[in-house]
Amino acid sequence: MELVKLYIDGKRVIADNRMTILEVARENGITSIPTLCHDGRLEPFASCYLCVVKVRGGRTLTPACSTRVAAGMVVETSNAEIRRSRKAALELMLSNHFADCIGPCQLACPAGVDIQGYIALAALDKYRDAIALIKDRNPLPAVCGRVCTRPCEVKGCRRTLLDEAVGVDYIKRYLSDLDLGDKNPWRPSVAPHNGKKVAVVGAGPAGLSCAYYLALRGYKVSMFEAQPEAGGMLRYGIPEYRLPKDVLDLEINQILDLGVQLSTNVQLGRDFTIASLKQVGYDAVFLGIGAWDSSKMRVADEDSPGVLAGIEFLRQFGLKRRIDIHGRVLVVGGGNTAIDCARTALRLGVAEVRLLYRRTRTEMPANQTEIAEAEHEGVKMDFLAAPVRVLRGENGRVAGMECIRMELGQPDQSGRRSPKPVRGSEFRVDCDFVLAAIGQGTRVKELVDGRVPNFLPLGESLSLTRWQTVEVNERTFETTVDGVFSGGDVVTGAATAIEAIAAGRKAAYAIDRYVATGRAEPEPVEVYSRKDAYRKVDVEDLPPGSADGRRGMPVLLPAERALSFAEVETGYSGEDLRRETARCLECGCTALFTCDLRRYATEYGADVQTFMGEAVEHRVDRRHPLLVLDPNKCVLCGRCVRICSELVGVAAYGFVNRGFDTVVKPALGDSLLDTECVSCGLCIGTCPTGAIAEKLPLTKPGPWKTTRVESVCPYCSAGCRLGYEISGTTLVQVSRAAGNPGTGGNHCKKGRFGYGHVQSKERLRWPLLRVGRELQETSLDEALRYASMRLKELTRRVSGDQVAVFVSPRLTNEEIYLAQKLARLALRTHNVTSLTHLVNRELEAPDVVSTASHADIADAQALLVVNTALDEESFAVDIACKQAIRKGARLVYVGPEDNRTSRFAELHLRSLPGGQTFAILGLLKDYAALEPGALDDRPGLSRAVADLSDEQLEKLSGVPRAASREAAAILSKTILKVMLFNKDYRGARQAHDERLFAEAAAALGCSVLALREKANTQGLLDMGADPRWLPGYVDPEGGEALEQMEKELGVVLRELSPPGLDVAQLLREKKIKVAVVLGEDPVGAAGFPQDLRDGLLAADFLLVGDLFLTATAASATVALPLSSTGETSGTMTNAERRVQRLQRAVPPVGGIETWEILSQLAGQLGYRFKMKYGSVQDVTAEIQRVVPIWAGLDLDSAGAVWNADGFKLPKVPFTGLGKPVAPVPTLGLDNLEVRFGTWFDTIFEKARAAPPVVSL
Amino acid sequence: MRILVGLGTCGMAAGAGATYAALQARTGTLSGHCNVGKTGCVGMCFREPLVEVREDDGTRWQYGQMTPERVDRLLEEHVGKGQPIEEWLVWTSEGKGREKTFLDRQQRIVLRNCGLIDPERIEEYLEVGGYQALKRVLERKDPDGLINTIIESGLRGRGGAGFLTGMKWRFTRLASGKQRYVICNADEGDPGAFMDRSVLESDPHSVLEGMAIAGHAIGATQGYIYVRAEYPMAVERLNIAVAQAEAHGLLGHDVLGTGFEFHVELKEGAGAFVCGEETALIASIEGRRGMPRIRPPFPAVKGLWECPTNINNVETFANVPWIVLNGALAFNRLGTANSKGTKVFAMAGKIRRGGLVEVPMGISIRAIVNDVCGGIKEDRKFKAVQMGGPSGGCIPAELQDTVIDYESINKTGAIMGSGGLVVLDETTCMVDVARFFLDFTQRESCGKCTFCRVGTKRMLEILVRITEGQGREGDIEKLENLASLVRNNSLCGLGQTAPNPVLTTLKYFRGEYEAHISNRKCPAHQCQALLTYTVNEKCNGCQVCKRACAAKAITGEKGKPHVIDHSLCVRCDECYRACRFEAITRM
Repeated sequence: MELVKLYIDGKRVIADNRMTILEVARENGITSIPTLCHDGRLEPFASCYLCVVKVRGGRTLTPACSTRVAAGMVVETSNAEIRRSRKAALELMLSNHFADCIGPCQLACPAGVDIQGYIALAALDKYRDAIALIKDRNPLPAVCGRVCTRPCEVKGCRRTLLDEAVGVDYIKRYLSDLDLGDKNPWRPSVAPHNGKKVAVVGAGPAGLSCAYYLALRGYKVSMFEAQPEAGGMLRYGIPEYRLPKDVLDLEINQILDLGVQLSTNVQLGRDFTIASLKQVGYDAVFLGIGAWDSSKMRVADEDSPGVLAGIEFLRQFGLKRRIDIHGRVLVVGGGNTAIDCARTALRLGVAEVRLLYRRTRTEMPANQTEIAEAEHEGVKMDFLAAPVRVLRGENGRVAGMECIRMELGQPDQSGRRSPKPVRGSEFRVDCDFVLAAIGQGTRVKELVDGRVPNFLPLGESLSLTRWQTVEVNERTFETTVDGVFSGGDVVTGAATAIEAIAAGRKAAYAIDRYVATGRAEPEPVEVYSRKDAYRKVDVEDLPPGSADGRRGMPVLLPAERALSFAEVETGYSGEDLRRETARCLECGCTALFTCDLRRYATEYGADVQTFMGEAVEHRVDRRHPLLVLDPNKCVLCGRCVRICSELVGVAAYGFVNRGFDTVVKPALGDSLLDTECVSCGLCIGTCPTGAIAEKLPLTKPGPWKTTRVESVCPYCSAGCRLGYEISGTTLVQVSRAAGNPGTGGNHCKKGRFGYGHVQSKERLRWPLLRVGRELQETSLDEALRYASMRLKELTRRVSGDQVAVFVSPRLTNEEIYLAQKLARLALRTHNVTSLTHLVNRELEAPDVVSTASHADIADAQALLVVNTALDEESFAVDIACKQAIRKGARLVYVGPEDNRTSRFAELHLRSLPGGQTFAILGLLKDYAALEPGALDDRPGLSRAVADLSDEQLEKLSGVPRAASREAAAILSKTILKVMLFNKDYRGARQAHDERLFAEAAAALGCSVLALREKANTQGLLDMGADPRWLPGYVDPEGGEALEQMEKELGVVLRELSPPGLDVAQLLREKKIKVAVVLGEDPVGAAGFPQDLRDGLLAADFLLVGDLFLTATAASATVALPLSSTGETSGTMTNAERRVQRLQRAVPPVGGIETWEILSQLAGQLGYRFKMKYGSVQDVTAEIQRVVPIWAGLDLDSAGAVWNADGFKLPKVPFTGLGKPVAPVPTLGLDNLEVRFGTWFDTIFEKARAAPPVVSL
Repeated sequence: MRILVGLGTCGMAAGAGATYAALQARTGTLSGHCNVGKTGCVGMCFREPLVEVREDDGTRWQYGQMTPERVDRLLEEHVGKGQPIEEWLVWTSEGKGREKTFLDRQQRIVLRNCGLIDPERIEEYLEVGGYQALKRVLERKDPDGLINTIIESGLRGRGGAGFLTGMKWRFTRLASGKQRYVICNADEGDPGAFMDRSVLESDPHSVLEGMAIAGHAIGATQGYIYVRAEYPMAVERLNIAVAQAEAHGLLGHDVLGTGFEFHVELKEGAGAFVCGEETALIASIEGRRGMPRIRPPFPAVKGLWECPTNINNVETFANVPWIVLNGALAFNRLGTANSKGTKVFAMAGKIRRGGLVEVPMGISIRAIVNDVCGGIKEDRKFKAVQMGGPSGGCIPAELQDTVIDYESINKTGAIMGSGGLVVLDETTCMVDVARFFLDFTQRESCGKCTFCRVGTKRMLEILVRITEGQGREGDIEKLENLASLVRNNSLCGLGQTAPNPVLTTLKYFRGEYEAHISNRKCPAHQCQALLTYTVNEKCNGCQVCKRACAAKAITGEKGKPHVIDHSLCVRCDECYRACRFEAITRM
């Protein structure tokens, strides 16, 4: 290694020359170099070619991920050439990516609403979250749920290939009606006022939408509306029976509630002008004044009395004015306005309504359901007919219409077949009124043609298109006037509500940019891969889904509609919703929000069409119960292949085929189930796209944008950091969290997939109180009141010796600390320990603790593993060992069995069962022969070694002397060495042996990593869950440390009766009368000694806290629901003695966190102040203040290892050999592992038994 | 007197096995002074099977196209009566034979023993001075001096890239490592190239000797030959050679009693072209998928099993013993300023004499095509040569005075490559040539790098559509853009050079591309989809074409000129081939 100076983007940096340009750049804060194939845990690969940079002097660009830095290098990480090259790489990958990022429904929606997302949330009963998701793109869902033209269904929904579209709009309506009906509807968070104001002219859908999104961004928005009420065409163009105005009012009010000001009856050009708005200080103006002019039919005599403009007719009606209409009504037109006119007229009681349309029914632009409903209601339709001239009666009024038959000609440029009149086919239709609904225009020309004085600021002019609509920049919605934006019908001509809403939102984005930066920028365009871009998707491509047909919208009977403006569509029921959401085929990708390919494609503006050609199509493999393989989405970065072979050592994946046909597949097998796959899920975490995705155990797996909360895995003592991915209050999945020292973001199957317990339906949700033989649900207050009453009464009667508190080594430090504090302060006993630990206590040497960290393993040159199957007992440590081996470390294994670790070892000293202690002594002897002085100052060891002859050693250990010598040679040649063993190992070992290991390790020059089975066994001991010591191993019987602790806590602890008999002994003798068990299930655990179990059940009062109603909880007097990891914050201490913070990710299922229960219980027992905390952080702070070993720990970093130098427990030096003892099982008393194991085995059994389901 | 039959794969394919059997069957009838033996390939593939009569005085008479039927007359006249059969002779050591310039214009170092000795008998190799070079270097015990000799000779890697062999050896020698390896790259994969196969089949010991010398130079005790499994005869003869060399103490624990240890093991490749790339080759030997990795570190520093490894090509190793025996100067005298010695080429395409030739560096392409190989077949017009296989490029006829020399060839956009040389005439469509080679490389891409995996596929799609008459405006620019992207963004030589055939044809024959796209015409009249068949004035109405036309596109009465209906014509070429009067014009 050498430090070299180089320049990156003009910045001088100094770096280790073994590092790559990418690593050095990132270390120096340059994080903009994209890469798909790089994973810091793996060797450089260089295949995606995204990370290219320019190294001065190089002929071509250089991949930064695999080029080592060199002295004097001058690197440029971004320029036009680099960006072009990266973009091309992305486009090439996307040209062979037969996959959909999002559903075609979302693509079809003008507003881009995440339809798949809200349907999934709706299916999970997450209605509020669903509304939040919809309103991210559309603030008027209740309106749209009624009037939308549904491009998502008509053009978008793939289900149409199979049967009928999913009722997207009906689902949306259900959700929004539910929300509107809520006392406390969902409300977005509004940014603080930013001091800027924007005028929105026109309170129609475009204006309302623009106002909403501006208000969210902190703008003061004033809306100006010419009509008496807000809503625009929604109010004045759509009849009540389709859109009840109270629904519209509710949604408008929600927008006004955000602080948007509305002025009505003020008209642009009459009451104010754009210039005047600018003058009074509006930073920007949005023009959304719609298209209110009816188009002319262009037939003779159309100005005759009785001929009305359809839109004006509807407006008059909307204004609640009396309209004189009767007799026979002829409606001309085929759009929604025509249908609305016809149905409104019908409801006004006219004799007959007849509709004239010049093409056929299939070409009608109106919604097909609307047309059908109109027919139901009695509207007569005349297709392929056009008006020629109005026929006047004697009074000059309309008396009929001369019409002509039409026929369809060749398709025109728009693809529609244009109608042509059939000569000589004229015919007459008698009528009393004509409603012309053939189109609408704007009234903007009269504003800009100079008739309105000072309409625009001086020197500005507002350009119009040749259709007399406002000319805007398509993406920013800027008009030709500085600071004036426009959208909706006034720009597009009469169009749909959803288009106007989309325009309003996009304009709001651009306005915000304009006001903030002086330059309007368009909403970023996301790049999406689409299957349709490659070829026509057909029914064969659809994934399996519900076979149900579309749930129709319940409607009023035609009879009920007559002369009534009651809403025709009455809305879905909950059952309708459930069935309809199940019909969604989830076309979009589950990795939508995490996919790096898409993120970079968007960042680099990649165009999926650029290199479009043949794409390789693969089958999606869903056979593995935990993950889905979709090779169509694979970019061949090989990260899964390499993670699995380089880190896990399994090599379940491999590259198959060559050239363009190359694909990553389960190696040498058809399915992952046929490989050695251990289901650790590291491949999911490393996959940069959705090619390997977790099969989420949800009815609809989203995807949703999740927030990530980092915490620590609750299973083993490696203490892997995990990311809890949260949507709303749902824990959606667990992801890897990089940055854990040593474990580097790795995890095992339990960490990745074993989170089902957190939000399991089987969780204990309510406190239970024993009434007679039964446990009854009760409130927490009642349970605590009762428990404290009994505890007070009993503790008065019995001595401290007869009270015991048992805590699980899976609780947090804070919980354990509070439990022991409760025991010692309120229950006046030192009897606090773990039942798990109690069983193994004779075998445990608490003074033997780790002296090595995970980082030491990564740097080690030699590893000595004693009798530990690392991959099973501490997967992340196993990976660290393998990484060390790849870097050249040599592993020696000592132990009787063959396992993955022993097979990985360079040398296996195969000892007899129980003979590993002698194997270590033998090794020591050989080592001392090579390294004289190794045993100096270690008289005990020295004597033991000297006492044993070679023959005895070989006989007792079972290890051939030659092998032992070979191992000694390996150790003597190396400097950085770590010995690993599991303190909770099931094999025959006792405290003596552990102490010997520790002593021998020191003699061999090894540091020690002493693994534990449970996540927080170390913390359990550290926090004083042992009668023999107080937190921090403080002597309870006296001394300076005790005095200090008593002073800090303000209590006297030495008055407690000193720890007397062994707790196990007390149990056996049934002396324990009061027992508190937190998180342990000795009754349900197989193998727990019967006498101890009986002793526990003999207690007069048993308080049990757990996540589940375990057998122990079922035997309790009072059972309380505890919070799990993920539901609480705090800390845990792993095998390295590293104290790491946990973060609460979701609210506890039981409604309260464990520390609060303990605090409240203590309060009820009279410790209202000494055990009162504002938050769990206060408990952590108290531990840091009171517990000496925690003094000065920096817990806000990645965790900190407490200093063992301050470790007060006297180290017992090795004094002699113990006798071999029978193996004793360690017990999974808190049943997390058992639950996980059962679940895991079941899903695999099912998967193996299931017929292979393979589909595209 | 001896009769030797050329029994390389080429000879066997032409029927030499039967000739050999026929000769053997007749040896009993021959007088005692004549025996029948085997030898390798002398390179005259266009005249296989070859039989050589070697007189006791060393004069050699090479007969071509010696089918079993010719055996009798040969035995009778030449062997029996001592009268050589002039009309069958292709070459003699006396300067006779119809094809004498083919061999006489060559200068043979690598191929020095090919066709001369029996490759399955180490004795014959020893007789011609085999293993003397190894003996010499082991006696001198001066690896650094040896490396200097190789550097001074100017020998450059014959695998294609042309790196100075001696320098490579020096780097490997200087790198630190517990173990060092020598690898012989015999994964010859270029379409149309067979130099290495021929050397391995005809003179395997020269390669083994070269490897052992390299092993001594760099301090390796183990060598691997990575050879294609598709070369069964080469594998077999190598195995025989290794066994014989071990038996003679020329390989093994104690070579020639000098204490030098050197073993050679064969690894058969499974037919992936990319495994010719050294890092992929190493991965393949290690049992991993043959995928290249980024260099540095170079194999000389971190190669097989992470140890310093020297990889040379078959031809490079075959040069080594000669250089040791004849001195650096002798080798250095041959060739040009920067390219020394000779180069073996596998000649294919539209030439009269196709086969294996070894020529001194500095000879012009014109001389190879015209003098050595006898010019273009059927007196067509010479259009271009394609050099260097799929990594190479096309050199047009205008540049035929370019001399064989690494730098000169590179200047044209082609590369020396390993020695494939395809001669193209006026009937070759250059777009189709580019398509052919790109089709090969894109199939053989290992699939690792984005640009090589997808980019070459997209380039191929464009070329295919151009040759199918579907070319679009802008396709040439798209090709050029992709070509430069693929070249600059690939990890290994395969991807970096895959666009070369496209780039060189675009450079010299851009007009042909444009004609395909803009005029929908293939100037060489090769791209089926772009051809128009018409009947010309030579038609006498014989009706043969009419009957041949399955599409029923040809009409016409007997004896009267026929007409082709272009709307029905499917361009199957049947009429063109059927017509005996050249009355069909194909444009």
